[in-house]
Amino acid sequence: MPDKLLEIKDLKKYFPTKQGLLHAVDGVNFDINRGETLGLVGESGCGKSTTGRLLLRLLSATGGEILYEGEDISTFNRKKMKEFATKAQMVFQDPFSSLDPRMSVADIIGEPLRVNRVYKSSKERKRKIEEMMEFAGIASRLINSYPHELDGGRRQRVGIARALVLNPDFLVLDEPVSALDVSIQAQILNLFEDLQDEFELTYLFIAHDLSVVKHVSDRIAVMYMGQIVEYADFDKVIYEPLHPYTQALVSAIPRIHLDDKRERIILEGDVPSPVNPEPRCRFYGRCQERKEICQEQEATLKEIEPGRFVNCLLRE
Amino acid sequence: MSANLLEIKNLHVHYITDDGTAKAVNGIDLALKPGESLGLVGETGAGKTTSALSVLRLVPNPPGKIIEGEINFNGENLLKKREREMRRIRGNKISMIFQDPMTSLNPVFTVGRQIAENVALHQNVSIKKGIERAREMLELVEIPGGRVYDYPHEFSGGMRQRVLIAMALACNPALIIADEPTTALDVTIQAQVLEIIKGLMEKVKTSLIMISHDLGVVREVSERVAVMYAGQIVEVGSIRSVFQNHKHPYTIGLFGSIPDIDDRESTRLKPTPGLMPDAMELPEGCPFHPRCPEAMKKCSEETPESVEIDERHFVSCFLYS
Repeated sequence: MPDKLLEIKDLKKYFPTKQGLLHAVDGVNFDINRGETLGLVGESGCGKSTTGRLLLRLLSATGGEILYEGEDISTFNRKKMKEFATKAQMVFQDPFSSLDPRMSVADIIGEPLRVNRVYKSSKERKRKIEEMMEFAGIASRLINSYPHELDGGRRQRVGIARALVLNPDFLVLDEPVSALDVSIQAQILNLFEDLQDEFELTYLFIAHDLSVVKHVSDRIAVMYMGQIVEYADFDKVIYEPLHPYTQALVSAIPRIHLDDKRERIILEGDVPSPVNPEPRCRFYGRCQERKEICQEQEATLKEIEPGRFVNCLLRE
Repeated sequence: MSANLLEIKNLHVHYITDDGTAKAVNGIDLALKPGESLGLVGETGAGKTTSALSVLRLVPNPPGKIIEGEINFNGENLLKKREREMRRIRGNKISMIFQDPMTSLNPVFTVGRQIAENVALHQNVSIKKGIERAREMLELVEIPGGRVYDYPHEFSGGMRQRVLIAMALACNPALIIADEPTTALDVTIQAQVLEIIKGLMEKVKTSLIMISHDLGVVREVSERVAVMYAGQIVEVGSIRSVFQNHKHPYTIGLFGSIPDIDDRESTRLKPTPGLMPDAMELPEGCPFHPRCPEAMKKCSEETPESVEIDERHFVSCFLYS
């Protein structure tokens, strides 16, 4: 039996807007096993970042449960929440706006230590900061630098060092490399791999780039309009996708192989609005295989073989 | 006699600021035949956009300045043209598609009007005739012609980018420069736009320079590819030749950095360590030598010439000269 670190059950988050209720996350179910990387992939506005924030209780859910080591995080009191915050951390997309411009590298990395009064002496704290900088690949001479003096890759490393300084078990990585150039992106992806081995970390890796997600993930969940449409081991999702949306998404990726003769599936139209969605399959409007039944009822995520989940009425 | 539509020779562009001089483009040579499509790839700050803007003479001046070089378009040096002559070329013979479809359209005019303005200006026809043309152009990019009377905010991101493509094509230009046209788009929308660009390239005889940081995107729409690093073209050749047989150590590192979705093993990436140098503090010699795994003594002293290693496949590296 896999050791489940997180279980997410029927998670919902609605935002009231002038036009109506925006269903950002609408009945999401998945688990994250200890030590694995779960990739959460989807296009802008599909609800992937909202899901990541809900998991750390940076947002409170409209409905559903998030169990961390079997306990519902929505029931945590102040003390319990503080403890949870040391175990579960986040790395943000934009290394330009997620670091305080008035704090030095040492202040940024050391802040969680200071807030949680981990060390009594500032000397010990400094030693820990230096150790984290080394793990994150930041030259020690940069300890008193400010974010504006660093390039995007180094800033992202500072964000990673800060996330790791309290020895967490679980990290939500929200588009952690999408603002970076490809060679810097590769350096950071390798760093995530090394840190996972070193500290036995569990990752939720959120990204829109399916090639990147495939590269890092053990399992992949694909989101569309607030729902998970497909969720399985990475090779199943990438090489034998079942949901029509996943099939289109995989085929749309520009390949670097010249002998690639893949038929592109070009979807019509754009992602529809998640405000007051109609009670039918969310993908109905763009699906190439849509049938009568797809507009009569909503599709739900079903396990069609062990460990392989698809949200499609035509695949049941 | 040259059969090239565009020839860039030894182009140098600097940005002169109070803090120093940023050498954005340092002696690039590039040739493009009529109807040919070239991808220009490189990381942020490699000089891709500055090179493209130079062709249209749109490098902001000050602080930007074209220091030396020639840009021959149909045999005429654009750098010798007067501003009035350039205005007749921009949007007419050479047009540009920018990255951000949200800011490149004017929000207070209908898209039809914006396309028509361009046509009316360059082809000396009435706005009414221009709107007719706009309707045709929208249909070419698979937007219903009736939408000429809609405003930019009524279109989605992908459709706005298609409107910009329609606008760029409206005067039948000989050359289109597209600067990261799909970077702001989601992948399924990117696929739609790339499909349209590919279809158009077959229909209209236009040359294309596609600037992108994404090798996969370049591969989709280009026949040739030029790789830029620190203001220089380090490798250029046909897509087939460069993708299968890249020789420059920078290009090798670039390909080694890309997670390949078809690699089932997710092999560890092999990026070049370090960063591209600041354009204000370029190293002596080959700009890549401080990061290069193959660097020799010579590399820090002299700048390598470009060498033809295969048919129309050039590499600027001492390993091959």
